[in-house]
Amino acid sequence: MRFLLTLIFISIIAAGIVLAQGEQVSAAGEPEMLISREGEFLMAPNWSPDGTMIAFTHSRYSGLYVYNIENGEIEQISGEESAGFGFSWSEDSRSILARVTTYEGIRRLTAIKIFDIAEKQEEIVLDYRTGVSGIPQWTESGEAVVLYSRGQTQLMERSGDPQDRMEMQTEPSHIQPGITPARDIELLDPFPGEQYLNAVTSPDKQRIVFEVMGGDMYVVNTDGTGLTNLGRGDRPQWSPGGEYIVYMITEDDGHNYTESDIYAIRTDGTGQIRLTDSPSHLFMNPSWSPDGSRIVFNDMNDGKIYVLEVSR
Amino acid sequence: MKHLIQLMTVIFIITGFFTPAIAQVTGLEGWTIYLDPGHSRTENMGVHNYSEAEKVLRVGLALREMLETQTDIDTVYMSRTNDQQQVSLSDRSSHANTVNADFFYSIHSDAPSTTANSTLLLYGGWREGGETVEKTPKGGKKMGDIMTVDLTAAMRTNTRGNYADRTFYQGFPFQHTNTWPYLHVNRETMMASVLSEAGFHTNPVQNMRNMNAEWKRLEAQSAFWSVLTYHDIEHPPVGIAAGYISDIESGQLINGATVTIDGQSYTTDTFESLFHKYSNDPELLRNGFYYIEDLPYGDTLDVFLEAPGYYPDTTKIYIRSDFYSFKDMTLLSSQSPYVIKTDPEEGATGVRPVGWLRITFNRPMNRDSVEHAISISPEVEDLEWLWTSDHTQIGFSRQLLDYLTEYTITIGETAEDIHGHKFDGNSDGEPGGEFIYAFTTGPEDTEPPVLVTSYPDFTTEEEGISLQPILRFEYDEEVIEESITGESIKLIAPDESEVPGTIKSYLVGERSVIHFFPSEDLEMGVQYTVVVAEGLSDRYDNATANEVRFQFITGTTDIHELVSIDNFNAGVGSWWQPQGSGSTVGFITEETSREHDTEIVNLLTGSTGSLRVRYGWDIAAGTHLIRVHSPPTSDATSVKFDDEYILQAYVFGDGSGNRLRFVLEDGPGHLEASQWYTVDWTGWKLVEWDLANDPVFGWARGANGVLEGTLAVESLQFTYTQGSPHIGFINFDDYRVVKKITVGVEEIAGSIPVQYRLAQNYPNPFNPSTTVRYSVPEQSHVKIEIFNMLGQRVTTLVNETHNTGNYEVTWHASGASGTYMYRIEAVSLTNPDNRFVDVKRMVLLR
Repeated sequence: MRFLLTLIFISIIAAGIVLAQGEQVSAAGEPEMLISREGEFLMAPNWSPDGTMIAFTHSRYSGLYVYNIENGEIEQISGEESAGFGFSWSEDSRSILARVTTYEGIRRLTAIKIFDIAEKQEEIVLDYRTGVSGIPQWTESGEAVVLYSRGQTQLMERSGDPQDRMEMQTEPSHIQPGITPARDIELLDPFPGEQYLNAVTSPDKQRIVFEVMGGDMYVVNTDGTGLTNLGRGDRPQWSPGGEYIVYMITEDDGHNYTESDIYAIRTDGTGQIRLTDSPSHLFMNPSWSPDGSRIVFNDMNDGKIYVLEVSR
Repeated sequence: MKHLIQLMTVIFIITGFFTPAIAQVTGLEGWTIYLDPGHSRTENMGVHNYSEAEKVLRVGLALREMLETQTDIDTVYMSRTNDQQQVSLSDRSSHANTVNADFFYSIHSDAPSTTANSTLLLYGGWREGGETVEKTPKGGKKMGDIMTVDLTAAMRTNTRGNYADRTFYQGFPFQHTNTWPYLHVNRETMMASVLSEAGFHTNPVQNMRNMNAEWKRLEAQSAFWSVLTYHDIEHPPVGIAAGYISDIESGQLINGATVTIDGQSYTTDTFESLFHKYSNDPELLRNGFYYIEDLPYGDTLDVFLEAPGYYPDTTKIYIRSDFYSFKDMTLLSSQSPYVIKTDPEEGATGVRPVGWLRITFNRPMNRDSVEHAISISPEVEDLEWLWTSDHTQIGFSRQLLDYLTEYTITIGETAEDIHGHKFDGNSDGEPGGEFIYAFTTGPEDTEPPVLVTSYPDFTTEEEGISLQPILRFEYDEEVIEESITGESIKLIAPDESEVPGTIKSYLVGERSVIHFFPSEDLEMGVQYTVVVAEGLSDRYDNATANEVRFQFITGTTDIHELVSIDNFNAGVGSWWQPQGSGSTVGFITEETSREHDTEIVNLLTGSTGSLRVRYGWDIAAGTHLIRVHSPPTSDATSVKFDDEYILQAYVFGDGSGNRLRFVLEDGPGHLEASQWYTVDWTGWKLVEWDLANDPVFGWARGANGVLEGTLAVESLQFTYTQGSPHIGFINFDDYRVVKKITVGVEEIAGSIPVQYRLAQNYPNPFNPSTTVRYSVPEQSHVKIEIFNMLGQRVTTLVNETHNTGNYEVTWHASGASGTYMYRIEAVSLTNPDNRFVDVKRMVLLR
């Protein structure tokens, strides 16, 4: 993770309801519990692009589940370890790309899979192996997966033998024409020597929000310009219109969290607003609904998922 | 690997011993580990100003270096690599999960005990169906089992064990409610994980070891071996000599001692080389630790040992290949013995014939030689010199001394220590010279103890006294227990009955404070009489000849809601040792601690334990603060309240004039403080912070001097007052929040008043109750008193602050028929010049 992987796509995705420039977002009420399951610790909710589902995971990012907004039903997509960390929805909300692991003795084997929600099928993009690092991401077309792992960029198409796909590695900035359009992949390193975390591309694919390990949160244009400090915060996500970043600010004593609440801030670093103020909760891992009206997050105290209406 | 060991064995037999090279250990290819030095910067400061965060970072860096240079490990990741980064817990787990490491190892040290020094390993796990369950992926328990053995043996200490984290913090029920790991690093990491606590950084001895660079290599070395064992790999042979060097007489660890083995030398840390970073006192810090690596193993080697001020020595050490070769060594001081301390001090005057005269030497003395060399002038009859068992202190009872006499004690140069070193009487660093020491005794004590101050004040008739008071009487000297009886303090109600209670005396310094704890609530708004009987005596049979009699009037407010924060009966586990906080500065660590006290307790509430804070201030320091922190996970901080409450604590003061305050964390996370309370009382006193009306001072974390939202306790804080005693203690008991009401006073409906008003009572005449109504146009302090026709106050009905409104209060008369006057005095809080007084008559007809 010395380098920040950016995927620049040409098209601009039409967002649902977006926030007009200069409007101030605010909480419209108190957080309400949305999803809970007896004896289970739920976390890391993530809204599907079409707004009909919320995917989430369990403690230790074990397993992957989908909550249907309309009927409230929950379906297990994967029971594998680590499936809930860094997963991402396909643009058509049909599939989820995830990294799963198992252990062989004390060695960790990792595979990359695509789970088809509707068909209840899974496709192995990269078969189980050691030495897999980084978070896989979709290409624009959804026909391939990109993984920046251990200093190398790997492009994995969804056809062919999974066992062979590690051989399709290319050096950074030398993606072969024909596999994917030129300049689709670019590396940024705005703070040489630092490590980066939780980078997320904006809905219009023009900007990236990211954290510096042990430092602040930043927004940068994908061409490397416009670096903007957003201050302290963790696990940022974009508002559907790209005007705001929603994130969490935590306090800890080195062993456990002592406080955590959800905040939002404009991408120019102004207009920070605290969306939750609940000392008895540890609200974390926010995700903004595609229509911009709600934010989901989990409570690290009670293992439940909450939703907050937002207004502007 | 087996072949490698066999090969080594063959070579060993041929050569006798050999020097190890850095061995390339195989078997870790494709495996990655995430090292997580806990905390950031200088967080979790140790007792001697070396933090947990600094230590564990260096252990992690050393372990990374060992793994990368000595094995074929794929990658070693780290959560932080310098003292500047501030890394949150979420960053740590996010990073480890992103890089997808095989194992997560979080490196910590323990707190807050100043005496314990054990190891502890915690993997992610809980209790389910009567079984202890490890989180998946598994592996943390296995690594913890290995590290418990290796780390404990490396540190040569004991262990608390290897626990599933939720069982360590929440016990071993049949089933935990939350069936997931307790610690964040176990809960949010998705790989096998374990957290180690290597000793206590709040333990003074361990904290001084932690400062040493090679001590951290020792801890890293043990973790390195544990990782290899985790992989079922035998670790390569080593040649490491380590241990402590100490003074054979005092046991004190020696700074600047040099150990030489096989041509390699190691000099223990000194003030100049290291300790000046953490203390201004050249003598305070010492660890005596040495650590020499890369020695030839399999043979016994000569050890050469030397240190300034000590006789050099030699010994031998066998260097083993499978572990550290520990050898602790001692040296004999070559310095002459000298006197390091006397009690009373040189030149002291007014010395009282109480306790012992003591002369302390720096090392054990030859008793006969000292007793032949010592003399006292003028001569003391029946003098018998007594020694401590270690032969470092000589003395006699001060009761043998005469009054108003200047004494001189001389120790001649013929005195010797137990090794025959000649006495350095004038402390010039060379043998020879006399030690001459003088002091003067005070006059005979012929005065009885004098009552200096009391609560309530015995010099006036105080009003508004609590209905649950602790009566306190401070004397100018010790009042012996034998003279204090159950009749010494009497509290007499208006009907002449005695209020039952408990009398308890404490000696604080050389002065007594006597308490009376009533065992029932007092009546409101009436006059009580206190009688302190004669006969209270000092040690010289000087007894008080007269009783002290005075009155006070109780208030009209009472507690109607009480929420306990901590009664300290079960211990003080909710509160850190002061040294555990990085904010604690300007103190003497040996004199500073928080303790559980079962002797000095609040008998008013039936308490069985209190929190004692001992303090010692470094007078030379520029800043003084002791912070006794209650962490967010404690029971005390789980009590939430708001600014509608009054914060209360019973505080046993030492009369020092040093100061204390309360700090709360509010809703936005600000740390807001009360005013500083000067501890100018001795004994128990109820200290209050009215959260709605008393001033608030911002202390830290964006504080703004305003209490916002939900509140919880954060710390108790103390600071030094120039010129005050720099050593003392303060006890806390029954820490709580309360709401009060004025009994009998009710706010009544009506239009918002625009002026003060006192209405005529009704009914009138009355028997025995009547009601008085009054109006307050702005926030004011209101006092309503009732007088008889002789002008004597009968009672105080109201004495408190009111907000704008209309009120009524009922008086239940107990006196004789007749005419009474009732008087209101109201003073605006915002404009004290706005003062309202009115008087009306009422008639009681029995």
